[in-house]
Amino acid sequence: MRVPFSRHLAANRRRFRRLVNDLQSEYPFVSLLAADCFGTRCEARQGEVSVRDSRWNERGCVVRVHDGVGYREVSFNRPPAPAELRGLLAGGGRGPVPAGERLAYPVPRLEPLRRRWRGRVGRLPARVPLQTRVARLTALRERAFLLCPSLVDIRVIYEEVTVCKLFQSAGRELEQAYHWSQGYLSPVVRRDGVTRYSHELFSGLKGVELLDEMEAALPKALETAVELLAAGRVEPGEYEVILAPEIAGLLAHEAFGHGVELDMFVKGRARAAAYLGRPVASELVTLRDGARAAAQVGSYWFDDEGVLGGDTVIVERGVFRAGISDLLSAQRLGTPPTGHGRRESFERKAYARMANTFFSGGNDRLEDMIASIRQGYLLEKFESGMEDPRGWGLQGIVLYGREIAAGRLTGRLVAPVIMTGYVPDVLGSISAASGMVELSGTGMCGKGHKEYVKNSMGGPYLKCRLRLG
Amino acid sequence: MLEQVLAGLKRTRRIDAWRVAEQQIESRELFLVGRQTDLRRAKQVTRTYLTVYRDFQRQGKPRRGAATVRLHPAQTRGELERVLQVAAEAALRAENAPYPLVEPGGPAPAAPPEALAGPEDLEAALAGLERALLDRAAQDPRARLNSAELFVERVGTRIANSAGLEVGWTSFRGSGELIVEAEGPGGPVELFRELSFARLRPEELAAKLERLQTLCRDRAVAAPTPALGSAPLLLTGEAVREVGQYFLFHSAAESAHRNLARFRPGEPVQGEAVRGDALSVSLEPFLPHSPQSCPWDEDGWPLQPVVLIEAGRLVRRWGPVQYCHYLGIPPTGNVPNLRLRPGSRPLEALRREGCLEVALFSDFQCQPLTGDFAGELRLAYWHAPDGSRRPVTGGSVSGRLDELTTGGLLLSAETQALSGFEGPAGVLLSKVTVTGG
Repeated sequence: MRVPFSRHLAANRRRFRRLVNDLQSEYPFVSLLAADCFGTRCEARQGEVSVRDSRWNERGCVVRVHDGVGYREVSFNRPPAPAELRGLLAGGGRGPVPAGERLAYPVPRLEPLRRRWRGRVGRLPARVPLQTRVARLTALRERAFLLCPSLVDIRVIYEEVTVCKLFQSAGRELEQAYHWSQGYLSPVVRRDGVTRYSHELFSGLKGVELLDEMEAALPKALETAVELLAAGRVEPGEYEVILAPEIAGLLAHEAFGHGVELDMFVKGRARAAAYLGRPVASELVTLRDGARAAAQVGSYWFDDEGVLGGDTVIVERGVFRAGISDLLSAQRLGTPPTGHGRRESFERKAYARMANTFFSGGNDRLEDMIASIRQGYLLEKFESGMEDPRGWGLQGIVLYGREIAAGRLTGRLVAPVIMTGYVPDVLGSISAASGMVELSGTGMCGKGHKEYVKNSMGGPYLKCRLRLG
Repeated sequence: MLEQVLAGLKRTRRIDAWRVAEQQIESRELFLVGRQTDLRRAKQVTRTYLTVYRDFQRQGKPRRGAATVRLHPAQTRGELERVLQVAAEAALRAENAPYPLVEPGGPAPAAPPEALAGPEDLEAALAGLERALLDRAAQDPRARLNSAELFVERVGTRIANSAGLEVGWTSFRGSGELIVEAEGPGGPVELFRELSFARLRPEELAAKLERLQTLCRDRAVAAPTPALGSAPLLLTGEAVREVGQYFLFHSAAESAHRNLARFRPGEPVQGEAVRGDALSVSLEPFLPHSPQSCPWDEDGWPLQPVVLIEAGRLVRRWGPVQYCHYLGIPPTGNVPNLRLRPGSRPLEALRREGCLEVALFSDFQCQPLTGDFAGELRLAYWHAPDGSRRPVTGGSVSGRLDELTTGGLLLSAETQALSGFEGPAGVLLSKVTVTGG
């Protein structure tokens, strides 16, 4: 089914254009991004059902101008009077900040382009009654309690969001509409006073068909949670590990995703800046990021600065080739923008942000990788991660590790596990990669501790060395 | 916007009750790279959240359904009507046990609404902060300000419901981040600090930068964290607040309703025989420094201070109207700030036996349900039993709070004030796994 464009944006297209044209008489560059994103989050859990608008819902505009030296922006969802908007752009009537105290940017030249893009999904939410969607979630909850005597609670969450954006600048008018959904099955189990939880995650440029995947995965979610009741603690140390695709994605994202966001280069915060064209990983490693590199929740046709999304090869066979940029950092560095200028919402600044980040697949088999490990772990299920672009440290917390001893899975689990390491050492230690690449995008990515955006990450099964604790 | 919504609600007959929370936000934002302005932004937005309720019977039992939708100022009357219809339908599907709305005429809130208001001129406020920041940055050339983001905003909040409640107040919030860099023998290092404040005090911002500069110089000369195996861990800063979240979770009415809460009223939360300090935890609607402070919660419940844990025993549960009603206890509302009573020993005494004192984590994570915690060390100090002290970096710590709180936990006498928190500057946990850097 084709995703329809926002009626609100379509109805106001000309009004936005008039605003852009009007401001162009005063500023050498003007752009406007209008967003109308709408969707619903449904959740069933022990003793409660909730239905609410998605946290990703937004409707509003951000106007950006270049005043001859640099940029200013105003975000609004109540259209201000023209004089008020001018006042806000001019800094509350205080006039321009003296030159020399500002970073200077050249006036951008975006090639004229008029395009409209519309995504497709299997089943649009509008075609399936809300009653049916909620009933499927509550049925999953009921089935979980029937299947699992140790179950204390389970969160069954399904969230659907339609993203509609309109970008205008001189000669450029872009429109896109696409739809993504995500789901969570998070059972909490208890036995003999020990409480554990697990999760199965689902996401994609999909519609209500995501619920089919969730229903099929319920037994596995429960089984894993029950397994975790017997989990022990890992003995701290360095191990040979196999990263499941979602953990490979975590490594890609935290180790060399944030570290090559080019606004970090502008600030001198990225150690990777000194490694362009140099080896940073094993030859088995090819790492890509792009809005058009995969079909997942980080996909789009144009970014929040009106730059078309692409497919950037960041690391090619171990050599660092290119970073990912927003428009401003590309201007500062004199590189072509890569279509990674993204905002948490129209209310926030655009930064260089990842879209879909993943390792390419290799030629190894998971069974062989397990068989090659004397003492180590298969790490599964992502909890959280943190970047360190300057120090090239790595923090990732995973839900559990499956012990491997003498080339076999022992059936023993350790949980939770914090993995740390020095990025080049970890990437350099990658010694095997399976063929199939899987991406997932149920979380959200912050820049530091804020500016959350949707993106996906993944890879094949990877074998490497990491410190675990 | 609120008036439009109220008019629309009057025309919608399918809704049994409603609640509206609206925020009008005006902000100014400054982005610095070094000493130069990279970007200035302004924001004027209205956020309106409407919850509609439907009351009905299911299998002879009374039920209440609720659905929350976000409304936008640019919505036409026709769109608003459609949204209300959809919300009314959704509420019928999200059925739960009934619970009441907050009635008007409750006690006055403990937080004086006028105390939350900040400066009128946001541009001037931002300029004052920028000056303080750049002046301080210039005083320490060995730990440079790499970049900074400063946001100041004024938020006008109104909450109304169909029971006749209507309350409102204006608050000031500041936020942002600081990044400082320093040169060390191993090359440049940096440290990051998130900002969140409710008082416009440029001198406090300058003090935060100065502290971060000191830490960054230490990180520049830090050695890799030794593989200690296990060691006493002294948590400081935001990590102390995160530890507090574990105690909040297990004393919440919502957790009890879901059978997830470990603590029971009247029972000990640290075991019968407390080793170390017994915890005393309260919730506070108003801490002058905390941008979380508010007079009423999102339901419009007038907030008062609440004693949760006294001398290691849970005194009562806390929670908003819905979950307290389910448990049959008086609501406290969703009180936003946590206060943890400090201990009697100074930090120096806690360090004396030897410990790893963490100044900054990459991202300290504490899972409130299980009490599992972990974090990579950006900067810590290893206080060896012989009295020596050296900065270390890298590696990680991990452990479980339930084991540690029963095994002995000591709180510092010195205090700290953070967003949403007031309490000891340090918490010593007796035995934590330390992976070397």
